Amino acid sequence: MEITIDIDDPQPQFEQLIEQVKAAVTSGVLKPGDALPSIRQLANDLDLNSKTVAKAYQLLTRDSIIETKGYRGTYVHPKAKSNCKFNLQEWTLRKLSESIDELREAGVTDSEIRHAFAGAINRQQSAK
Amino acid sequence: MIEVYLFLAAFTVQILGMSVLYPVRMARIIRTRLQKIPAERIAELYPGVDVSRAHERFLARYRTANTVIAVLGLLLLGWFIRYMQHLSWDEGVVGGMITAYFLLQNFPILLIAWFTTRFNKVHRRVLPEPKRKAVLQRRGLFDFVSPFTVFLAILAYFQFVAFMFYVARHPFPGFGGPFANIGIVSLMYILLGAVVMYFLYFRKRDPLQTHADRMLAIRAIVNSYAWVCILVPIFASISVARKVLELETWGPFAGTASFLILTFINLRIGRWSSPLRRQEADRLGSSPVR
Repeated sequence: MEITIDIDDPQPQFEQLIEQVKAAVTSGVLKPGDALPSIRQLANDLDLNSKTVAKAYQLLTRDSIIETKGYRGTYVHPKAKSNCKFNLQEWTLRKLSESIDELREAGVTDSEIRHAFAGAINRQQSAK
Repeated sequence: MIEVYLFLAAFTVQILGMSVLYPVRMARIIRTRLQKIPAERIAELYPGVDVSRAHERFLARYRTANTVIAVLGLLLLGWFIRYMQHLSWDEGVVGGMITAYFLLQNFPILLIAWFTTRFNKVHRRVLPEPKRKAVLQRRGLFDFVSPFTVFLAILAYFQFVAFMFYVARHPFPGFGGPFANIGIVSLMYILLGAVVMYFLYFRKRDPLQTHADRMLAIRAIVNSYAWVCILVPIFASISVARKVLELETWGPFAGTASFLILTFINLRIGRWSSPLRRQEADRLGSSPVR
């Protein structure tokens, strides 16, 4: 399967890569267990920085569309097709919207919500 | 004396094959490649340069260099005929000369590569490629070379190691010991392995090269080096065995035959390679050419 990265496109290159991998999985061109090229190979072939490809692979791994099997390389995840349908960003937005609605109903102002949200993120990070 | 006649015949074939027939074939390949590239693409990459004329000039120089080397080869052949009639001819002198001549025969191809690189550096415009393409498929060693060929390369190495330890039990004068010989061959394997790894994953330099062409180039290099890894330990073992068996007068014939086999295998490598994956055979281009 051939992928194309348009460097003139305002969409970030890693996102273009993610979209095309997802499209290949959804259309069945890439099947569960199929081997993917290494980060270095793909970065060299597309003449991109290897960090860009690594970021795309990292996000695809997080979404369980691909999986890394150590030195054996990167493969398409067994549940990649169903995981492609799940939009993590949309889900996050929905969850946050529900919480914001609840807080607004309780009379919390938008400024207080922003402040509390930043505080909660900072607390989580320092707890790590 | 039979070994001398065999050597002279093999050396004649070496001159004709490598300095006459091989250059004719190379020139044909270079011309065909150039004809396949659309004229507008060439004009875009080399503005104001007559590329076909430059290519013909390169080929003329390549032809001249090969003709000079072929004439030198014929003079050397004449000298060998005279020199080897004496009973006291030295195997080391003849061996050294045929090795030097073989290296000289490879010089024109390096010359043309150097001319091309210099020409591209001066005249080629660096065009930004806004759309970059790649095939989402992992490249591995066995996509280009058969596991059997790799197995043969490993087998040849262990055969050489075992043979060196065997010879070490009955050494002959001038034998450098098993570890020195094994070290040299191991170094060659490591070096060629590193070059193969580089070619498998290297960044594409030529904007005219399509994906399929690149795959074919990698396949040729990988197979060529695999066969070098198979043949060099075998030739080295034969060379040592000759000394053990006191068949030193066969040295020049064995040397010329080795060079001929290496050249022949390199020429035939395309047919002997493992088949490409289907997508690669579909000639998916990574440049707008073809």
